[in-house]
Amino acid sequence: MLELRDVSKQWQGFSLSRIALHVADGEFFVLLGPSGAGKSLLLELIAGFHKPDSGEILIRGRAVSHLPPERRQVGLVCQDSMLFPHRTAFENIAFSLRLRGQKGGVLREGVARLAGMLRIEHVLGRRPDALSGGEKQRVAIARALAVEPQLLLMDEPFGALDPVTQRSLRAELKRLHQETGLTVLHVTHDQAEARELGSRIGIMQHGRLAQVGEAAEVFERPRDAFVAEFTDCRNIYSGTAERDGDVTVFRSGALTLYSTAQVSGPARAAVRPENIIISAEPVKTSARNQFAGRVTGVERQGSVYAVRALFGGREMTSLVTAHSVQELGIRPGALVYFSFKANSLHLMSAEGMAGSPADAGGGRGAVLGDEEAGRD
Amino acid sequence: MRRTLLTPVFTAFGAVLLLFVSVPIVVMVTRQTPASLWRALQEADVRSALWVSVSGAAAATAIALALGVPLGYILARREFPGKSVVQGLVDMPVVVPHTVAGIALLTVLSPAGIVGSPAQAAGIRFVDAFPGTVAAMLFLSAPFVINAARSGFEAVSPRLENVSRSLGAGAWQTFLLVSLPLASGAIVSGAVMCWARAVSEFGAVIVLAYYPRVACTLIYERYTGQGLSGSRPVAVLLVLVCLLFFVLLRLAARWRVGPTGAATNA
Repeated sequence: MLELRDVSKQWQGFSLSRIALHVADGEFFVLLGPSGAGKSLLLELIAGFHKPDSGEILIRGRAVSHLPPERRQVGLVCQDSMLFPHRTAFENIAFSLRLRGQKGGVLREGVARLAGMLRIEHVLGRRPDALSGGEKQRVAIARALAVEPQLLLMDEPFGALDPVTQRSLRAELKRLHQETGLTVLHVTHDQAEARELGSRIGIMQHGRLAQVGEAAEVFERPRDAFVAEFTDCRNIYSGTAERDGDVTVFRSGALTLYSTAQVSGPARAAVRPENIIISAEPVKTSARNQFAGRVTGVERQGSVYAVRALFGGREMTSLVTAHSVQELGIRPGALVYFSFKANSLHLMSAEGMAGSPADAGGGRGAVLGDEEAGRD
Repeated sequence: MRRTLLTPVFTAFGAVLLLFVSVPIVVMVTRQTPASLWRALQEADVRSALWVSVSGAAAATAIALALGVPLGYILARREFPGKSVVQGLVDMPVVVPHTVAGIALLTVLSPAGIVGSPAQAAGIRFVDAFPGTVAAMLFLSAPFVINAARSGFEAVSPRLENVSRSLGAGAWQTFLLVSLPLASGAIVSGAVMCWARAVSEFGAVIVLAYYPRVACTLIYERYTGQGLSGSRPVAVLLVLVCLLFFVLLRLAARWRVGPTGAATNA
């Protein structure tokens, strides 16, 4: 459907280098990355607002790099909606329909159909400045769908909305995607949004694609520390891995962890906080990793609590419900048991990373290395 | 709120200036009886001069819009070498003394000039003719339209134009459907300034086209020949015509804004 072949571009301090990507027909692909990673620039290249310095962009197998935006049939929704302020919601949606010569009843029907899909029939007569943030984005989506796009580009469309509106619009977008079978390329810096929406996810860093894969793969099997950190995996450790039969033993200072991943030598280990179970007593479990430690901090984070505890000189974070915090008597200083399965511990070979281009994020502060062990 | 002397002092200073500007106009207008104005209006000379002023300024404004709006758009959207030189050229008429502008225009537009002679061959005469009046007015008032258009277009996000393009509108359609309507408020107020500036043009007009007399020329002629009492009725008539024009434009602007304001409350 959409294919990027080694697309590079330098523009106003942003740069993309050799982006290669394939988005399948009907896929919901999410580009996840921090601000300044070049995500929006990539969308603008695909929309046709800039020409790539090198490489080629193909839509349905056709090279489009030389085509002006109006001939690409690509829908675009921006964070700040970019509705035409001098036109009503109706006229915004009707914009591309009128350009295609629709008028009268056909036009009204077309707008009504799109407005029905986005549930905005009641705001069609209003101008953008009389719409709420959520309504604006719905109108913007309806307007983009009016071009019957081959590809819908979403540039942080929910970034400026309150959490409640965000949640309902995400659900709406998911429903819309399932109903229409549209191909969507969605940009966000919100890992929760990426996980909820994306069938596949591409992580962008410094103008490069650091990792592309199924959502579960990217979140559970990050290729490097940057991806792990950006996907909100808070437990990342530097150490050495050693094969021992069918398991791998990973040591970081006094902390010993078991993994089913097959890596040996210098490595980083990552375990997602939501994969760790907390208990007040040692439990009989098939989980290979279980240790006792003292709680160092409890923080409310939205609807869950982040519990930090110290094991073998390494801090580890787990996410639990308010109920569990009460039930288990979790408070700083309390003794708790953390346990997780060997296949929840992801190992990344440090050697492989050193050779990878996305290593710029390696050795970050959040990664506890051996060099820090001496200070513990 | 803490009381300070800043507001009263600044208000007093500003009031002095406002009085200085408004008192002479008000006194001049009120000194003139309606009967004397009516008598002045009976004179063919006066009516013709007022018409030349109003219509010449309108023609100059129309030309300034047709040629200046595209230039304003380029200045707002494109970066190119020598852009500051171009912007300097746009602003130049503002700093050139008006009689100097007249002399310069006469040099080029006279029947022997580099533009005047081919124009003469095509049957267009500038010196002491209506086209000369319009040319003098255009030279000195065009910057208002160009600069207003430029800042009007600068206020329109290029991303709105991008969205328009991705919705299937070409570059020209995007200009006509998005950029121009959104900049139109700024352009209209620039056009009003341009027209007003053109109506009051005198220095360049008398050098290039003493005839047909514009109102300002007639007022000057009456003043040197008949003094204050002879020139004042024409002066008051010109002021009233300008005021009428502004009131009509204001009403037109309100009518334009009105329905949209109502729509947003719906």
